[in-house]
Amino acid sequence: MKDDTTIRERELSILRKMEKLLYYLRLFPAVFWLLVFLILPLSVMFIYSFWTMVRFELVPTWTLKNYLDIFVRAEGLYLRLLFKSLGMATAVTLGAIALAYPAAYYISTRGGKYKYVLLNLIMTPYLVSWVITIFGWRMVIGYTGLVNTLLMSVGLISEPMRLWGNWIAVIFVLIVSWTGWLVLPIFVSLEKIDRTLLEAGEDLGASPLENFRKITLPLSIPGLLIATFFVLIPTLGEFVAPLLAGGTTGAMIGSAIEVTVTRMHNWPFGAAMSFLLVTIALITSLVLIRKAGLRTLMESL
Amino acid sequence: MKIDVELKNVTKKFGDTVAVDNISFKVEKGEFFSLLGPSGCGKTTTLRMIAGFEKPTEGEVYVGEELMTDVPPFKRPTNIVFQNLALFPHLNVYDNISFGLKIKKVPKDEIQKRVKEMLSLVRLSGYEKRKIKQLSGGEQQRVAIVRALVNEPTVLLLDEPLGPLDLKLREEMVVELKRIKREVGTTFIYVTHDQGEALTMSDRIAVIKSGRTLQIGTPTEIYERPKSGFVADFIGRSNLFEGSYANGVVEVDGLGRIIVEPERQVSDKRSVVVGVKPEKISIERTLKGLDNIFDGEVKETYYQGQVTTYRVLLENDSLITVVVLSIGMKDIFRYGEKVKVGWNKEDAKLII
Repeated sequence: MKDDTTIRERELSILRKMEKLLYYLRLFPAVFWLLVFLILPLSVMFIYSFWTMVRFELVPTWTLKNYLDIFVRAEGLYLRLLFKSLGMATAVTLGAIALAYPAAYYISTRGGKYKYVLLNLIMTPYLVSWVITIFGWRMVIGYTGLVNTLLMSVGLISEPMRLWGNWIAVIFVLIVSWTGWLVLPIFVSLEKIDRTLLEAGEDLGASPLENFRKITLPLSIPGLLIATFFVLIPTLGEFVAPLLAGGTTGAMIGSAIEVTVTRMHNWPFGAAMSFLLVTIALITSLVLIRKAGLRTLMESL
Repeated sequence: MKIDVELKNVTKKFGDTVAVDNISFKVEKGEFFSLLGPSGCGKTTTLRMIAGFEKPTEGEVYVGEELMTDVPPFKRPTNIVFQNLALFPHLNVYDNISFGLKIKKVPKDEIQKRVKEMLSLVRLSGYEKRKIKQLSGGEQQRVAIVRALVNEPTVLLLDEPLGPLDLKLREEMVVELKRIKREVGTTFIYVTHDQGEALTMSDRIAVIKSGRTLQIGTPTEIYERPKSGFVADFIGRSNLFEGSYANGVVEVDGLGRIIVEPERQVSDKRSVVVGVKPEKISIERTLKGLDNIFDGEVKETYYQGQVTTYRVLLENDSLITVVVLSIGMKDIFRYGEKVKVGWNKEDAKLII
């Protein structure tokens, strides 16, 4: 009898250990992926940011100079670029949300049985590569683009306007390309609002406009925060749009990093700037996700 | 008497389906009026037409003696307590209750005073800053009721607000609602499918079936003198017998003669329905001294504490329900036992 129970206990403990092992095995792919493709490169970048470039060679000097350089080098040009990028990213976020919200609201309230057809239509532009989209816009608002040609042919202007190749063009291109994506999280948060709440508001004397201001808008804030998260973080490090549409005034901190690393070959300085950007992005996303809730984020994905 | 709500020949169609079919009634000021019926009978649609969320296909709706048929909900002097309560999840108790007053631009200290009064009316004083999620079901219920009441509506509409509560809480809320009604005196229109709630609280009840009102009357009228088999069955779960009437006796096929005491003149040879309430029927092994006694066989027994309910099969193959008080019951009859059931002639009501 006694032997039986000890054998049984041993079997159970082996089983438990195997279960634990299985649990870790199942986590392995995700952890591996994160380690190899995120933590590892970030660590390399972090280490580089304390090194120095001497005659095109990396020297492990362990210095904070690269970080200080962001603030002082070229009379604070990089710091100004950073602030400018923050400003542009904010403008892009606000602009894209301002366009996406009415679209999401319309689909959610008036979409009826075509709701999901409309949502899919809004997603179709993303079948085309980002770079091609930018070139497409160049054909529309470029120096010899559609707008200028048309206005000149009607005689409204005598020479082409400079709509392309400046910071406004960058913001414009980014806004129109982000709008579609933002419709999704905003749509989800609007769909989650119980329609009887609006009836309750109406019953208590609220006109449709007051209802929107006091019920719909505050209840869609989680969606707005997630939308902000979607645009703000990637836009902060954007370098493709400034490169293709920005001309001289459209440069952002992303452009500076790209030039520093690929043309000036100053990896440590580029790494320092990147790391600062990563830190800013991380803090912003933590704040946004915390306010909106992880669930809302996952639901909109 | 002042009339607070009146429906004149109101019909509502959704496409081809008729939800409400030519309903008319008047609700007097200060009345507790219930719309009672099974689910899908059109009672909620009727309520929503009074609130303004649905527009009648035909007919007119008056509130406070003014024609309201085309007035949107936010301009009507009505307030509604929704079935799912529809409290605003992003606002606390104070902001929920003051929602309507703020929109009407009532001065701030006046709002504070009224919210405070309302909270003490439902015994939730000090709950101003609580979030809706932190409240229990019964507390949410009471907040929903005063969120509507604080606006001093001409009529308060309640759409089965006790539905989601458990039985015990529901009974408490019925008492609570009666008390609130007594204290504020506002006209209440209450939608429910629960005949117990309707009988307990209402001054008058309209029994609705398939979009029509079958009977409107006080709880006693409806319970004691139902005008149709449906009302008798729905309100009191009456046992119904169909037969032909002749000279104080109803001949029921396969069962025999039921002696009745008609309250009004009934012509002979007329086919009628006799209703007998479950609690008016005696059940014993041997039974004497009653006007109507029949043989039966016990098919089901539910011991429910205070009362015991039997389902008894009679000789005409109909199942009747008998409810007896458990106190004073000599013994419990089991499945298959042969029993006698009986009732006096004054307890057999002629319905049609």
